[in-house]
Amino acid sequence: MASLLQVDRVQYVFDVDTQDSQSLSRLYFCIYCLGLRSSHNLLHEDDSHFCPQALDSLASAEAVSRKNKCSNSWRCPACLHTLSTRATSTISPPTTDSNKPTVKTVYYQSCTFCRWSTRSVGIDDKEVANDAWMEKENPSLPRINKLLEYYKYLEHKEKVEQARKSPIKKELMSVTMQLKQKYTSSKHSPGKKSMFGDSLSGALSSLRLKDVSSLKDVSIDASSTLALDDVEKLNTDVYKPVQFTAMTSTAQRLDQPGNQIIECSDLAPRRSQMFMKQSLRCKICDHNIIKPEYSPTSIKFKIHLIALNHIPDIRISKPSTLRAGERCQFVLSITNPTEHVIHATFLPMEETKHEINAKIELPTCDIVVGKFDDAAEFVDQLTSTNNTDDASIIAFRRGNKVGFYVHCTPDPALSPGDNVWVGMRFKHEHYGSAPLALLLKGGEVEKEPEPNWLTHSVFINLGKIQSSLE
Amino acid sequence: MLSQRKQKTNPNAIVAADALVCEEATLEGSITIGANCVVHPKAGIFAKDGPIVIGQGNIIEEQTRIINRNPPGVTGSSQLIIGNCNTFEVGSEFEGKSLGNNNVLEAKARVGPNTTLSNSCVIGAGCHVNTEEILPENTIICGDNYLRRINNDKLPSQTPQLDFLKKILPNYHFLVKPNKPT
Repeated sequence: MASLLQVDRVQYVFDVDTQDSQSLSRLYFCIYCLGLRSSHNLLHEDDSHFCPQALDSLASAEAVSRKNKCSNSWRCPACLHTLSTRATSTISPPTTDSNKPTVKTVYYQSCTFCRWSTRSVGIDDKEVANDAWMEKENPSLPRINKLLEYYKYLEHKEKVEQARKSPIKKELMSVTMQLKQKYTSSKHSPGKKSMFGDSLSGALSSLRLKDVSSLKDVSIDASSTLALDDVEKLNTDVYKPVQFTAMTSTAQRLDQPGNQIIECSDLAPRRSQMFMKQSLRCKICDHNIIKPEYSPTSIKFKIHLIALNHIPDIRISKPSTLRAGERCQFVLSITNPTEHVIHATFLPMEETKHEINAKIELPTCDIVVGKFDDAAEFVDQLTSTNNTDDASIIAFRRGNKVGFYVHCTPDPALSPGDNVWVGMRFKHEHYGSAPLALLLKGGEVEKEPEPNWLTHSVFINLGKIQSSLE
Repeated sequence: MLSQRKQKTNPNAIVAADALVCEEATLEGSITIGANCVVHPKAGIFAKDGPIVIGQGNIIEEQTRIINRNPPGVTGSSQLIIGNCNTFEVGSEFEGKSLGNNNVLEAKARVGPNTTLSNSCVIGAGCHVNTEEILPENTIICGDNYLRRINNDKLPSQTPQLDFLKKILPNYHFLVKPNKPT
């Protein structure tokens, strides 16, 4: 849909310093500090993890301990799509007690996309539908765990040694700050997260409190070395022609980096990874911009401050042929998503880094745009008799959408095929949600809520220069 | 659009006794359809440059095209032999040199004139295969990237589907009368 609506044609500047711009559908709006934000200058926090296949959700801490993998969803190792569990019934030979053969239901996994199944690699069918399949373990996992333990021990030992050797420097921190740093993890302060992430700071905080005496002595055996003469000679089988269909491809191999399988006959299913729901936070005022719902089946948000809900959207309504040096008329439309009537004023663009290669003549007076009305589509739109719009400026007016004329003169130096960019600033009011909040609390509603006037710089790509032959 | 209820039967099509060929299927040229086959309506079998012999137990679904056409520059007629128990799913096209047994051409798959399929191959949905080779047995080609695999499993048999179709199809479609040559 983004390509159908051509949202990238109209760019709003969100960062005044760097003049970075983005289409409005990709921007967010902080109603507290009244500024457009893009996902680059927002703090991303992970909210919850969920599996789209099994629709179960996990909190962040639990997800980390399970390595972000769902317990019940599996992936096909051959084509990396989801595996589905199939049931068949088998007839096992009759036991000595009963004369009839027993019918059992056994389960196997198969991929509906590439037709791989656990039966083709020789994995036995299981009798239970869930919780029966095991993932292949990384063969070096015990060694890695041992090494990790050893390094933790070394680090603590060194720290203790250092503390003993050098006198404790009185840092420029107050006593309360020192105690706070020592005994609490930095999880409690909203918005300010420790650099290293939760799990590591949790581990470090536990280390801080450990006494010297409770340290276990950990030792590891060094990895073995071989003399050059002891290395076994190259097997001449390596020079035989390779059977490509029996070997795994790079994508299949790297899909399970822990144990990279070389032969197709050893492929084993792996657990599928969970997706993550993120919440976004404004760096300046620390308020939440986006907060999704916890339930994995819900795509709604608890807090949903996207720019399209607050800032009027300017779009190209009617294009026209552009020729270098010729004045042509365009119709731009402005849509008001808010529940108040707004007045949009257009101002010329100031000095900017973006390349503008056309002059634009904007309407000089302000344009009144009606408010967004949910019920408007159900009510018959009567042609408004009090149509006081200036026909030379306003092209059409439909509910909360107004089309207005602009004239554009592209640079005469442009050649056919060049994109024509124009820039402008527009000013409009923004009404906060304060009156609504007051109403909910039962307080008195003020007569007229105070609007905030916001100015945005907008760049529009009006199209390409047509060649003069057309 | 007026469509004729009864199409002209193709005198060159030899249909076996218990094969179900819908009248709305297009059969052009000299075609032999074996026993127990099901040809859905709107299927197209075009024996343009040579006869087509279709084995037993095949399922040819809607909008498929099986074409026996000479490659450009080659003259003369050659027979296109299709084996037993193959499945041509909806919209698939087969122009290859020959087809063995138990193959599956999934929906909108296309096999070009250079390829020969052996037995138990699966051409995945939407895959166009036209390589100059005889596909080894049990090959599966699927996906955007034409992933190729050798399947160790047996493909599920089509017998339940065949039985179901043989029961239901005569209730809703006119069938071509079988005319095995004496």
